[in-house]
Amino acid sequence: MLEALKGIASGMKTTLSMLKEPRDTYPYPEKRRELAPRYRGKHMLAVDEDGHELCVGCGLCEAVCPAHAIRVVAAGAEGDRTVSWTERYAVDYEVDLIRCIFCGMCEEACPTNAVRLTPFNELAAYDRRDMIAKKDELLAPPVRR
Amino acid sequence: MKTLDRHYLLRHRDVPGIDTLQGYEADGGYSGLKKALAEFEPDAIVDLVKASGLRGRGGAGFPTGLKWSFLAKDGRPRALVVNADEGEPGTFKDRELIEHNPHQLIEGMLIASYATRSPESFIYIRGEFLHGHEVLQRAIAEATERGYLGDRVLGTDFSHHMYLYRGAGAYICGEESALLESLEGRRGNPRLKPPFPAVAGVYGLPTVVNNVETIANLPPLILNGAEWHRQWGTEKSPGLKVMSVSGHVTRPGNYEVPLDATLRELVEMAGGVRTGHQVKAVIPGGSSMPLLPAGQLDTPIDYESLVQAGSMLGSGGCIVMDDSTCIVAAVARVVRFYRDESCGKCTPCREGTYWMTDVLDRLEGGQGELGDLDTLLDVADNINGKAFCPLGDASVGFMVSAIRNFRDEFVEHITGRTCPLGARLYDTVNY
Amino acid sequence: MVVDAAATVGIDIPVYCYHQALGPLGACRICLVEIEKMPKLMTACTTAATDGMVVHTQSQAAEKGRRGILEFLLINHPLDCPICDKGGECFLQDYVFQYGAGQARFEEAKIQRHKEYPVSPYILVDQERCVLCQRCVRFMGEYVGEEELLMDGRGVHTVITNVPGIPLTSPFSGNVIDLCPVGALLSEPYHYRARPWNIEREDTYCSQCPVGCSSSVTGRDGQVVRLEGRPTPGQWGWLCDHGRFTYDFGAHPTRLTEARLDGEPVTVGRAAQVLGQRLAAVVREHGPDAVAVLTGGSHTVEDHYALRRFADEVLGGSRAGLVKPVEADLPLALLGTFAELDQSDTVLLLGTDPYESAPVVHLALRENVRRRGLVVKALGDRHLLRDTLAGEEWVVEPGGMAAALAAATAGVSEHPDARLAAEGLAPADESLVRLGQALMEPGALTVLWDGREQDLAPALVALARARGEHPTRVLPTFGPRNWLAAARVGIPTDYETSRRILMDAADGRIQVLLLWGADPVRDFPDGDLAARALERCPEVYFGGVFPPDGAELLAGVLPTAAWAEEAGTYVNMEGRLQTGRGAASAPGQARPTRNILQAVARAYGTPLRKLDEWDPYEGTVDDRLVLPPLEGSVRPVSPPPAAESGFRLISGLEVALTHDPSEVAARTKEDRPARMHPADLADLGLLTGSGPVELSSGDRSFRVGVRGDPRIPRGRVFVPRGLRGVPINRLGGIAVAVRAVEEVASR
Repeated sequence: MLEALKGIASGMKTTLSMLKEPRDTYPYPEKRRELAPRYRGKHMLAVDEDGHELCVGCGLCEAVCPAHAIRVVAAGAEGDRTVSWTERYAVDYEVDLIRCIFCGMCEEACPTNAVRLTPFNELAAYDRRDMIAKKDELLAPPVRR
Repeated sequence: MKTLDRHYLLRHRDVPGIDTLQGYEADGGYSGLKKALAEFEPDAIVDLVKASGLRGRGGAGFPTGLKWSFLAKDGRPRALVVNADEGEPGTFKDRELIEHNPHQLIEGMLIASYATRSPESFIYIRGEFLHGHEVLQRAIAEATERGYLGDRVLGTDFSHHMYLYRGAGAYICGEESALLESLEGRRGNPRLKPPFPAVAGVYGLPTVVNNVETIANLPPLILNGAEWHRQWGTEKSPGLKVMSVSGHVTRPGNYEVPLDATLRELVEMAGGVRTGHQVKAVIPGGSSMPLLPAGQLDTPIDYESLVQAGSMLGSGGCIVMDDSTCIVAAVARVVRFYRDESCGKCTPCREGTYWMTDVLDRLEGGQGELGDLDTLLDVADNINGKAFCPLGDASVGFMVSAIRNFRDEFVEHITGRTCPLGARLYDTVNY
Repeated sequence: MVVDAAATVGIDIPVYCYHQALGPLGACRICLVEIEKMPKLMTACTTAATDGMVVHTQSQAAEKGRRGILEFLLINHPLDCPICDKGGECFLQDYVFQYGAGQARFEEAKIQRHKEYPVSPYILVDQERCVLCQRCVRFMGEYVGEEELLMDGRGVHTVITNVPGIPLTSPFSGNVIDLCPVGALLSEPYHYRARPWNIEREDTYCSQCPVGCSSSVTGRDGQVVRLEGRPTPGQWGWLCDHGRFTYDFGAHPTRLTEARLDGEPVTVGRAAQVLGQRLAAVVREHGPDAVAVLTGGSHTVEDHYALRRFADEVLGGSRAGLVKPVEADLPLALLGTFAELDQSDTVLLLGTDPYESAPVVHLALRENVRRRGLVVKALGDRHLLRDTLAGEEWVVEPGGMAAALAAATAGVSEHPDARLAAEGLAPADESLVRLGQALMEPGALTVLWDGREQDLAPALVALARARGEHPTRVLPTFGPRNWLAAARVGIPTDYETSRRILMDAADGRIQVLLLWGADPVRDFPDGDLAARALERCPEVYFGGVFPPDGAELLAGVLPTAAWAEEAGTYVNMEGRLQTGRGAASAPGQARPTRNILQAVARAYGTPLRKLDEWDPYEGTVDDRLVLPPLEGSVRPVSPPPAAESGFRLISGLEVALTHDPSEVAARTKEDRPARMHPADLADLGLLTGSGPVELSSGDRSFRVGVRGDPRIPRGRVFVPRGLRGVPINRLGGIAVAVRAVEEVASR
């Protein structure tokens, strides 16, 4: 009996001592974790000041992606309607955010600095298909509130 | 230097009216051809030329008789091509020979054709030599009328036809294989060797390509013999040479001198530099050749001595620069010439000259960096000996020798951010 | 050359301008090596390797030279690899990566030039990326002999371009895309389509003519997006543009992608089931002779094997035949090879212009003429030689080639067969004797023949026998692409068998006719008979890729997978088996023939077993069909038809027009397929040198666009065979009336 009480007391001691420690959990979403500035979250496709996409659809990100999460389909600009800053642009650009391991190799491989990983990490959806980020979605980078 | 009693190549200086057939014949013209046809077997002429030690006057200085004996002996008809595409900056000797003494060239060609058993010969004349072209046309017509050209020359079994072809203005067509391409009507790019022209030249025939001055040497050589020729110059470089002296001298022009004259003698013949100025540097053989600074003025102009001094005789275009010359501007100008005249066939010459021109323009404009000099030398090293034809090597010779001898002047341009002599390039715009 | 010698021992020396087919040039200087006892660095591509030569490819001097050249090549290069189609398969990238300096020193302005400049509907030039290796210029000018690309400008401003305002028209121009070592010459249809790491690139053989050029097919997202030449030992890997740019035929709008029964779309399984049950009922009632199979010779050997076993085992011995666009049968014993062509002393073009019927063979002939002085003779009903292929030619009356050949042989040879073949013919005149002498020259003779004139077969056999021990070989330039696959699996390939089948169908003796890729109304030389057969036969089923003429008469249609959609073996015109792999997926309901036939057989009640265990290569020698010995007697050649008044119709095969429907290749497709002498056109009032005409014979007529061609003799009109909408096989007879018609207002 005494042994048992002793055991409980020792256990409670550890527990109570932890109450003094700072908290590791956050009351999400009221309070959000402060992330490092180079935190790798959801991708974005950058646009220059004239509104031209930086992405030229070269497909290097697709080639380098270890998770095969990226799909790029390129095309030439028709007539004067240039989408990117050069003749070639990406018609389709998809990132499968379920497959993605956020390693940042795409960002590193990009020769035009078009693909960037934003610190946005609130990735959740009701449907798996919604987790495939399309090009227009990537062109409008999400802002973390 | 042994002084000349008379001119042998620039005969028109002594004999007025020699540019017509009458005038030429009156001065004993075509007697060399008559003697050759009457007294010599073709091979005997080749031996005579070999014995005389005559070397090609176009630039490389290859022994002429030896060149002739390399012709393929397989029964195909042969051809003689005379390279009158005198484009080397600073050289204008062939032009004077053609315009004022055309019959000596024609006579020499007939002798060379007889010696090489060529039924046909071609003169590829520089496109800009319009007057020379007209003179030659007239001279060939005169010679044909008199029976020196055509079937059965002077009643002998030797028949010969001569064709005159005007180039279209490319410097590279002075290179023999590019000349042959152009002569055949194609883009003037140098050909791959082998096969050498002696095996497959113009229209695939065994071909000798000789310079105008080389050929003009033949008539007096036939008349006077090998020993006469050997009395001038040195053992290895015998004979006479027409030197074109230009630049900062008071009497620029062509001077016929024995091959053991020194550069200083040449400059003095041309009246020396302007009063109050000193010779700064001399290019002895046209802009393709490295320069020699004033300290080396006592170098004789024979082939061997100039090579030993670090330059070459080349085509004999002696450019004299006095101390008012900005060497950087001169180099930039010369390299620009080679950029413009590169045919575009091979990478080092095509791209390297473009690169050097840009850097040199920047240097002359005071925008250079100290590292640029090493870059220039390394680029030059990557061109030198690696280009398809000699034009690549030619484009760097002057620049490398200039940086080597006048490095301080280059550094002054860089550190002073301007040209100390105030020289200006007339065109510094890249296009 | 040193570079070749190094390659044989596995040492890679980088090259741009050097190509073995084009010879040394020495322009790019990238192959600089150090050779002992030579004062300066030498180019490995222009220096002949000699005994005892010591070459250093990795010495300090050689590496510096190479690095310097690469630096030069890059100073005016735009470095736009991310948007370059060649990126990832570019020799400039590879060599700079392997040998180049890590850092650029060039800081000045780069020269700007044309980018994406179209020199033809298929080819773009990017002059900024060009390294001026001149491969393209030399290929077009020297190898092909059509100087359509040239170097413009001097020095650093030199660019590759076309003659201003004149796009490339040569059928070999596409090869410059393959030849270009960098991204300067680009394929317009492939522009920006894919990158080397997201494609499937498989070895295959071109599907458009019986030459069977080795090639690589590129597939992306299940579609074929490119075809490239693939060099193999002994072959340079050239393609003609007709083959190269027809790769997209599998995605053509007219492609069959759904099964149909009586015009109603059904699933392919349902169609197979109905067909199996119908066949079972017919065979039960009328016997196997009431069913016949005709193949069009476009499916693979494996498919033909399944087809033959289907006819033999399932149907119980029904007849099978081949529909081909020519009436003559090649004596298979004489079938030659390209290697034999390269060894031949004389080549005879017999009625065929290989430039039109088998373009890459034209290149092979030209190379042989240039390299070793091959002698070319031509016998035909029109001028067969051209500027780029010189020789001597004999132009005879239409239908008179066989008689001329037999007479020429008999005029020189005493051989009894030569005599027999020429029996009843007029003796050879002086000109034909000269032909006979040329053909009887000792040494090897190769005949290129397009299979017209049935009597040429005995005439060729007589010639071969008269030549005795000197080899005589025939290369058939007629299609269909894979007709020798039928020979491989034992389906009769002769004209008579298929004619009998069609006659029986036309006479109502056949209840079910199964056409497998066959389009008899369009292709069969007797088009009327084929049309009657389709009309009279109660049930005609069709399996294939494109609907045949008379599709409205079909009882059922089964879409099959096409070339590049499945691996399969083809047999080319030399009888060589070639296995190509698939790089795309069959669209819609299209299925491989084998699967469809299996399904039909199961519905029939007699499943085909162990189809996949058969090896097409089994029993072949050097991957080639085993040829039968040359036996049988020679029959006399009939005299040429008497000259008639009016125009005479002549024909031939032209792969430029008869290739599969393709949207890419349609860019340059000629819409005036017929040809006449310009003077004849002027006589017809067509002063512009072309226009629509009406050809008529008896009560038959059709309209066709015609253009001027001085190589067609006066009084003749040339119309290619097997062309959709140009039914010359239904005109009958060779005398036609030609009338210019007003252009129908359209377009």
